[in-house]
Amino acid sequence: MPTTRIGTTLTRRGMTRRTLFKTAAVGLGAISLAPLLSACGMIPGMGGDKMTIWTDATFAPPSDDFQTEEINKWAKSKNVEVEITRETGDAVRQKLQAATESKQLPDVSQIDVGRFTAFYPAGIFIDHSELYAEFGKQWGGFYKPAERIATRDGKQWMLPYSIDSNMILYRKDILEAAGFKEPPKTWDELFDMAKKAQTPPNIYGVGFQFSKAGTDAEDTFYLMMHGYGGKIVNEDGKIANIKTPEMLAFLTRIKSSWDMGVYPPGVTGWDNAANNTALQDEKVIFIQNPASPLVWFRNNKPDMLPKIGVASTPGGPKGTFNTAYVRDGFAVLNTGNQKRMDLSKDLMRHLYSKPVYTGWINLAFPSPAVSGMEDLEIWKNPQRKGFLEAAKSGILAGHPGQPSQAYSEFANRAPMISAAARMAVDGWSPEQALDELAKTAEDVFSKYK
Amino acid sequence: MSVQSAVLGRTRYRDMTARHKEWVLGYAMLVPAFFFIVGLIVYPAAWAIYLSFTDKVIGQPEKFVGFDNYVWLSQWPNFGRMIWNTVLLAVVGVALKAFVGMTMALALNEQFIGRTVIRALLFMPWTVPAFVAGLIWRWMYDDQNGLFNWALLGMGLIDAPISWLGDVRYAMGAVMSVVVWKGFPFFAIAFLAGMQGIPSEQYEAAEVDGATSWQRFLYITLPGLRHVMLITCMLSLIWTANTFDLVYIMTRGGPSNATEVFTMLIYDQGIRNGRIGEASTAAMMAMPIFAGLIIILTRYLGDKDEERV
Repeated sequence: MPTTRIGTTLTRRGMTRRTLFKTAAVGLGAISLAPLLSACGMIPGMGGDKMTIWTDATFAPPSDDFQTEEINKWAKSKNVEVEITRETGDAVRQKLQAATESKQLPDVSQIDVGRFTAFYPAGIFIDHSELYAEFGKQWGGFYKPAERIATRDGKQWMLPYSIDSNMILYRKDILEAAGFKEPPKTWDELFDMAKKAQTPPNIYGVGFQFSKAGTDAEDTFYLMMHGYGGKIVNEDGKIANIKTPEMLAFLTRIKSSWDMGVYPPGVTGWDNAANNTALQDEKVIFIQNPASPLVWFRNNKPDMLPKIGVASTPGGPKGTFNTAYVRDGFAVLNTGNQKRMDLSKDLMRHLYSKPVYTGWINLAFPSPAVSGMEDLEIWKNPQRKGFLEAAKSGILAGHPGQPSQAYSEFANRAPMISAAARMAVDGWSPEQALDELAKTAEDVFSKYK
Repeated sequence: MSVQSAVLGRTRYRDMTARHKEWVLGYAMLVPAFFFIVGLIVYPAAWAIYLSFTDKVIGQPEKFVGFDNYVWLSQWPNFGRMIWNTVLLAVVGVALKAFVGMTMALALNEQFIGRTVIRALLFMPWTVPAFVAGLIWRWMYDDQNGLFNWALLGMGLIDAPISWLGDVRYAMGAVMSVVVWKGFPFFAIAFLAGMQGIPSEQYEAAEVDGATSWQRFLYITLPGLRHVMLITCMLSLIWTANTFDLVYIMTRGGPSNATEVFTMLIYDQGIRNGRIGEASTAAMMAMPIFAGLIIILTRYLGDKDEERV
């Protein structure tokens, strides 16, 4: 057969057409197969018997390491191969979205209340009622907020592991020097104390963010709203009448606190770490936050730790409220592989076993989701005790209703902070801010009718 | 395929003219590229357009909703502000990048010791991931422990820290400065490469004729670079208008809505709320502008190819 040569370059190299076609065919085949081969190993649920476990990276790395070690120990004892990934909650959320759409779910995913609320309608969680009852019996029951979050239509669809709350952290020494022996009981007291005790520009009174990058303050203003009798939803989870005198009083209180000059000027650009940094760098008196700054003080400025007070969120004319939310929880996902789902349940039993769960709580900063750990040494510390109390009785997002996808989307727009920023940055009146808040709520909730 | 048809196929191929053989081979060579383009560009783009007309939420089946999403988006409370911020960031950002890039290119086109090292260093901001750049600059602008406030306070130029990212007067400027810092090396390198292509005889002749350096720049360098400038500006306009990570990390659109750009709406609706339909709609709103820019760019590049032929 005569050899045909194609093109000058090929002729020079002496490549025949047949060789060229063979090379091209092999190349194309490899390219086509590559994603398939890769998928079999990489995509959760397709990697043979290897279990995929997605976990969150928290602000307490030792607790993360402990958990990873325990999962590996369990895997070894069961002779199971596991792939554990540890990423931020946002990253896990994004991966779950892709996994849900492609129906390539991991076997187990760590989830918080936001992710649970968002993914519950997609039907990716198995019924956890049996495990929930088993662990409840083992640990003397789950706390009420945990139960409300995990329960839909009388069944439990996730396993709450920890409950966190945002508390008021304050500089005891500065308040005492200014003549205040007790922490503030009301918002009015807090702002008055802050005004009297602050020494700007070195130390400002209050470090609440007026920026959408700082979601801690969304929680703070949300609690303030309830303290003033305002609400976004009714008990049935449907949108409430938002333009009420109570809501206006709440926004007026934020506006007047801004006008008092108790906030550092930069709070309009603060992110979620900036309030921690401000307290840690001794630049503000009050912040509202989970316990993470206490962990930081313990590790970095132990001499400052006794000077930090922890108090319940102040109240308004209509009561005092603290938040409670599931920070860490687990869900066995509906992969359709019964063998691996059973193994995942067994892993849950290991994580809820006494040495593992208590070991983790001792290293982490949130409170447990179950009541059987109240006699642990860490809760004797007055700085930590308040967080445990809040875990028992705190209100959920979307109070007085159940956490819902609608409220979750509404909260994702940081509506309270937006209203506060409108007044502080754009000079809006409380009436204007309330008007926008009501429109935002209407826009979101109208999609869920 | 049977042996018979395989033989027949081979026979038919053998019987073809050389021209036909080239034609078949040419198309055969295009097949992989065709599938890649369809799979990675056409299909996702068409799917995104379709999703923009649905109420798609992650994990739930979508329903066709016509133009509802577009109506919803046009009524978004900060829609006008968002578009304005995006245009401002893109247009002013690109103009500044071009200016700084040109200045750097002119300087680096001269002979001096260490020129190669500086040329290499010039590329650094371009190579830093946007996420890292955002964090670094956020720290530098930080009102509590930031470098700029520390320096200004240390020099006694200010009495109290400036809230660079929390004050509407400075926030957009702060974001813009990082966009420019990150993007100007692309311009500088492109311009520098373009300058290498301008014949030195033109400068020598102009010098003999008594042209000043400004005149040489105006009448030789600038016209010589106009094609490079057009392409870099258009590409950068598309990239800058799509800026997300820098803004998200530095200000999250604040203070209030002062630096909110439309990519943030896409992220919030698509990623945070799982509302893929609405997120696709937000992405589609910018599509005509980008498509226009791309068409101009490709037609221009096509014209240049024809000129060369």
